[in-house]
Amino acid sequence: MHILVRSLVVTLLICVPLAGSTDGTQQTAECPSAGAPRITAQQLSVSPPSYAFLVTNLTKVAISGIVVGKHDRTMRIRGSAPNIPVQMLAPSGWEGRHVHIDETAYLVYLWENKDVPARILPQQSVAGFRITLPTSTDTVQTTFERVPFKASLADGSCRFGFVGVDKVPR
Amino acid sequence: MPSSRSLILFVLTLAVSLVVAVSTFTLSAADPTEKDRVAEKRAAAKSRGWTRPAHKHAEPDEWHVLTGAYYDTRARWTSKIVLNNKGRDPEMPIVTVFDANGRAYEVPKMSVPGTGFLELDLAPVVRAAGGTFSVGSVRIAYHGKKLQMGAQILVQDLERGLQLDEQMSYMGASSINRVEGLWWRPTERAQMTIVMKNRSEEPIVVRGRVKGPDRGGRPEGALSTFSLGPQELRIADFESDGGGRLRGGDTAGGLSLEFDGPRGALLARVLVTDQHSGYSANVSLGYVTSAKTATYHGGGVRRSIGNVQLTPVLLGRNISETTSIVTGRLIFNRPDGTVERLPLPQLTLQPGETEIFDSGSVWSTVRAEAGDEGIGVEFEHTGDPGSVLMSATLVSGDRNFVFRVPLTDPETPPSSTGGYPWFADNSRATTVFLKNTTTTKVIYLLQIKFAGGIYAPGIKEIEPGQTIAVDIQHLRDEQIPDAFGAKIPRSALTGQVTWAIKSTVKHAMIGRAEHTDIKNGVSSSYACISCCPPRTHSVWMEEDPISVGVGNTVDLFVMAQDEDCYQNVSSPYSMPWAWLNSYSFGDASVATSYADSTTTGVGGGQTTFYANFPGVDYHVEGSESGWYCVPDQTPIPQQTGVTTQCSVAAVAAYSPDPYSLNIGGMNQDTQTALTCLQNAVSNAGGTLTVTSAYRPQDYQDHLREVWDKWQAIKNNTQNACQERKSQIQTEWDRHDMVHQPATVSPHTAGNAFDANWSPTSLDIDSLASSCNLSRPVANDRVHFVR
Repeated sequence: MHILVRSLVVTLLICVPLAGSTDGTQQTAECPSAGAPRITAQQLSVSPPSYAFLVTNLTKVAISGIVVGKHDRTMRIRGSAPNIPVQMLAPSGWEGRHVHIDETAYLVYLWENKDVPARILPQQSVAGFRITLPTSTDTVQTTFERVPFKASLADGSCRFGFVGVDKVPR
Repeated sequence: MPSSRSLILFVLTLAVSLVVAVSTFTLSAADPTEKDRVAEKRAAAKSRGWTRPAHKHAEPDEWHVLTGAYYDTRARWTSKIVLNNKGRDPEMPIVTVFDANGRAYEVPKMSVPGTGFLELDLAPVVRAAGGTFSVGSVRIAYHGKKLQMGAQILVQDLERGLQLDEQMSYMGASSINRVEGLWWRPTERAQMTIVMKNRSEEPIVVRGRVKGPDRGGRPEGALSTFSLGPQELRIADFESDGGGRLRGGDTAGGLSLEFDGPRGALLARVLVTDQHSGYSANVSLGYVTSAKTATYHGGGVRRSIGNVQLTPVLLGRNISETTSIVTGRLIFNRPDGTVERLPLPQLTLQPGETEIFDSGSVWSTVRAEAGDEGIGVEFEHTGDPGSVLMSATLVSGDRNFVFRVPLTDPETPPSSTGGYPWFADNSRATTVFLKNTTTTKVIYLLQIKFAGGIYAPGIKEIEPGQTIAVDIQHLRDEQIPDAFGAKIPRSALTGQVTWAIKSTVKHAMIGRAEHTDIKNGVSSSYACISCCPPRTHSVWMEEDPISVGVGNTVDLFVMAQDEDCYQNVSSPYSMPWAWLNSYSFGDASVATSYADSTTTGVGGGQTTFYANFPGVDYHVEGSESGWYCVPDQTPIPQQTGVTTQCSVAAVAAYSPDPYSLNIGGMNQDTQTALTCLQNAVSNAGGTLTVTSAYRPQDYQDHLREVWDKWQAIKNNTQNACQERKSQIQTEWDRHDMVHQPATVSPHTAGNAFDANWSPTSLDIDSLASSCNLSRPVANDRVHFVR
């Protein structure tokens, strides 16, 4: 219950849409949502917060990268200590890390394909993407509920969607 | 033909030092810099192209003879000969001067440099030859190719602004022994002299008649009968001989000379000088049987010289027994590049009549509307070829400046080529005038050689009838680049300019060089053609294979070099595709062309570009008196592979990427300030997370590259870019940025870091200030600077 309340607060307070870039250029949406892959986060533990992600490719092109926490100009995960992973795991052929977004107070979680055969093929589901965050009571700590993600595809295009969260298994 | 004695002297005197004042121009090796690298790359491309096998049918070397009728070193007159060698190698001509009685003196040997010229002052020659040689004529014999050498005699009195220029001529065989000319003088006080030179080794007898301009009403003035011994020169005063019998007021008329003797033996000129105004002209009398058409073309009817405006004097003389109607036009370039033709009033010439065209109103229009000095004139008459003589002269209002515009029967020159000395020094400036004499657009190649290099503007088009003016001093002073970006050095004062038609249309172009001396108010015209247009020497694709981005356009040059009949190989040039026999792309869905000499990537893949180059060779047909060049055309196929790929290049890999957090790379003061801030935040119950500190410049460059290339490719949907886009997106995901990184960042200077803090309710600016830190960038609130 504590998590749910915190999640709601995070959703209301930490969703930060940037009005536009400071150089005055109008940004257009980079990734459409139609036919986006599905990513669900299963919360493995509450303290420390730990999540496992299952990625299902519903597109027609292989997935080569996953970015969680940002959609176009909207960023969701504050880049301070509570959200800096203690550990990020990835399936074979993939690598995970957090990326502070330059000139902002936010970060994203990135899983990058390092081995072409390990790309997530259309209709394939791959597990093994995991994050463990530090134990914290700070309300800025993310919960992944409705956090945006971007899937980078092998043809250079991308899709965006929102992470769905499964609760701690009983 | 030189005697055996001359040949022996030729050999014996090779080592004799020349005690005459000469100035020379030669080409030297280019600087070994960027040129060498370009040349190395080009040599590799050429090696994959086509090169003509060694030419087996080169014209043999033979003896050739040029004659100049008149020089004068008496009183204030000085004379010099400009010897122009278009051959590749130095030439040692036999120069012989003759006194008025035909006595010969052979000038000590001198070397005229290959593709260069030599100026020979005749004063020391006359001193060495003896007093009777103060006035006389010149013969030049050389062993080489047809028309390889040209020569001009300049007789000058610069103090009075007088110059009589004569282009020395080859002796041709005419079917009849009669020469004709027409003269014009600005006022009655202008002195006119008739010069007759017997260039044969047999005596000749000359009879002449001078005619006024009127329609039959005025009497002809019969000249005396002149007997000229071998090589003799006779100078007759116009007034005291036949001209004095004309009524006063005549300013234009004709002169006919008939002679008994060997064909082509007589060389005759009319010299017109007015020492009061500085007017001077050397009018050539020609053999009328050399005419092939009833047309005349002239290029370089210039409007002005410096600030001095010029007016044309256009004359026609009917030397036939029937009435002839002459039509003509002035052709000029408008500022927008279009070519305009303005007809001159029609002229009806009765038999024997000489008349001046009324060109006043047409000239006013030309003067007002022409965009440059590329102005030409054309005439046609209804008589037989050669039955009407025409002349064009440009004069200034005070008559000090006189520009002769030679009018040429376009089918008379054996080839559309030229090679002349050029000058751009304190005393002389050269303009080359080229004129298209046909109703068809043609192309030509002009090259300007100077000590240490060649200025190569490349293939140029010339519209039907158009005249092009190439002002070499202007090209040099304005540093106008050629087709390869090269410029004529400001230090270059002289050299040789050559041009040749590149189309195989016969008799399509004429050209000449005009040397002007504004200070002294004199000018000379020189038209020295080559034996035949150059043959194709080599053809290649400049890039083989070539790579182009989809949607991008790159140059795709079909290159060539020519070799003239003197074995000089031209500078490389790019042949415009419109002048290729044909060209095509194997697969237009991969690459095509939307502009000349370029290719544009259409879709990813590979194809081939095919070109058929209009290869040409020439051979000579006809006799010595009437030879001409016949083109042999052979298409030369060339091809190159074209690879098209995404126009956005891949992001260069950076390692480690991302760059590790490097606090130790910051300067000591900033590290101290950071420690201070971390302690202050901690003391306030929070945490500070440093996300970025020192960055090397090459990492900053990498970030900028990722940003730029992602912006360039993110909306690209071309198939050829899919893989590249995926690669750049991977880089983009790795760095994720909201602004374009700065070219130079305080991070690279080591005095800035980015940090987040928690809880956000902390008064971070107060804490930072206490540690000598600030957040100066409004839209970068995680950026702390010491």
